[in-house]
Amino acid sequence: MSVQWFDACARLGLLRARPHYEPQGSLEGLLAALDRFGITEALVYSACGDETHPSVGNRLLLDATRANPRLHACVTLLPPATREFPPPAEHIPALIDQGVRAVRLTPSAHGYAFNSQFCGELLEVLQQHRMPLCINISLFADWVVLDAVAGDFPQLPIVLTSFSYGMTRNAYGVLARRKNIYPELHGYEVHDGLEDLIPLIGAERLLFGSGWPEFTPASAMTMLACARISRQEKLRIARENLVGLLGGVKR
Amino acid sequence: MAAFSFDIVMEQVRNLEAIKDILADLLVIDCHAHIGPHSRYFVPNDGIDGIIAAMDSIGVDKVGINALSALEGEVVDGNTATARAMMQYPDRIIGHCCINPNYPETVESETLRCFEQLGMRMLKFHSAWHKTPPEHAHYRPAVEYCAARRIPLLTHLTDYIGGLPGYASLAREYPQMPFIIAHATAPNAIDAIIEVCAGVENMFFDTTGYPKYNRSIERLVEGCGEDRVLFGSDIAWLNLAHEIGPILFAEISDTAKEKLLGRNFQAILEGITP
Repeated sequence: MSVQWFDACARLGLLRARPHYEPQGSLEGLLAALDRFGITEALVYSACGDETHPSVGNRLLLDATRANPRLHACVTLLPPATREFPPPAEHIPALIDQGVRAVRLTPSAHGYAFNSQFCGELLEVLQQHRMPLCINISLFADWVVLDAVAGDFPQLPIVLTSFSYGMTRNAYGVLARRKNIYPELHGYEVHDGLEDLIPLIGAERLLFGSGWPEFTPASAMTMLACARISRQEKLRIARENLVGLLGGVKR
Repeated sequence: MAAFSFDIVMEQVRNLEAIKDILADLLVIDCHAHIGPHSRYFVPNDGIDGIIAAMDSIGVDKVGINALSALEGEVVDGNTATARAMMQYPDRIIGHCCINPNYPETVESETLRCFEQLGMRMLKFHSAWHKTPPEHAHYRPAVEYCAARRIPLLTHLTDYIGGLPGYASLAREYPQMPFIIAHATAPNAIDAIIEVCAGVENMFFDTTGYPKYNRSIERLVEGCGEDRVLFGSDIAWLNLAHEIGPILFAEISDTAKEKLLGRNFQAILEGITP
């Protein structure tokens, strides 16, 4: 039986500046890539959610994921002060009712401070529901704030997308200290990186992601396949850990 | 002998299985690698033993390598560190002779020491770190020595778009010498590289660092030809499997993959004259 892969980081939608790579982020392109690489499911976010507005991006994203059961929406949120979405205590249960099992914040795109002071009300509700929160750590590079937020909300699963090779000296301490942080690995191209990190934090917190369409899934898949770790650890990272996180959301 | 099929390799990866036994039937040479450590970030097992272990786990036969310290100020000590690794694994390592033009008094002596005493077979410039374009006069004694022996030069550029015409002029000046541009799959540079490569047949392009960008391998092969693209990984700076994966899965022919993974670089090494 073939291995089931679950991609924790893929993007749908066109960017305002056309990038060098193809395909640009179309639904058809994503489904073709998943087929070619043998990826069963993907957690996807909307480019439009960052560049236009989360409300527009989320609508397009949910339309796409409703029509394609292999795709799971990671909707983009904003801090509640400006009331661009309903209050978190209403909004998050409504999203759960729509089948949403992960959300993301992109403070650099939307112009706000990500910390417990500015986002606490939202983070508290996400924590109550154990809703995985994705943060692009290559864009939000403040490990001090991340450390503090993860400590303030220890039951909130925080998925670090675009966790990258240049971060080891900050990451090792924070990841060892905060058990609710889950790195996604498409950018973690560290020599012997998995072999060294797993004894420190365990394989159960690491997530396969592709970074599609900017990146080819070939990099992260080959890195995981060739890693000198157990097959059980590989299977957890390829799919099981993300299934567990999404399945842990409480109504 | 039947042609090598990469379908099996890709299926192994999809099934989370090791690929080393399959790649054992193929010549795989990594032209661009480093022995650590370095200041920028922590890398585990960055010594030569850790690098060889990673190569063995994937099926990489040989590696062109330098100690990262040889690219900084302490060039002599760094080149000596590279030579120690070569002595430890003489059949696996192709040593890079590193030259720093900011210390011109060392250029000629290090060139002679590296090639005539230490047995290195590649010249390496890091023009970005040295903030000096590869055509600068201070690099020239090393270039002339290598040109006379067809020893390849692997170099970063100071400016991957604006610096290409100067580098192409240098390559035209020494048409028998292979000039390898590092990191040629960088997405913002590929178009400029394709533009200059057509007229300069002794320019080659390594995949190091950026093959992860979707279709960058395909674009480089389409634009510059399958005979001029070389596999490089940047191990231990980066992860060897992460770097080789995009070539294994690229939508190019199996023959082209074989060339990128080793045959093209082997041909360059075979062209070196005593």
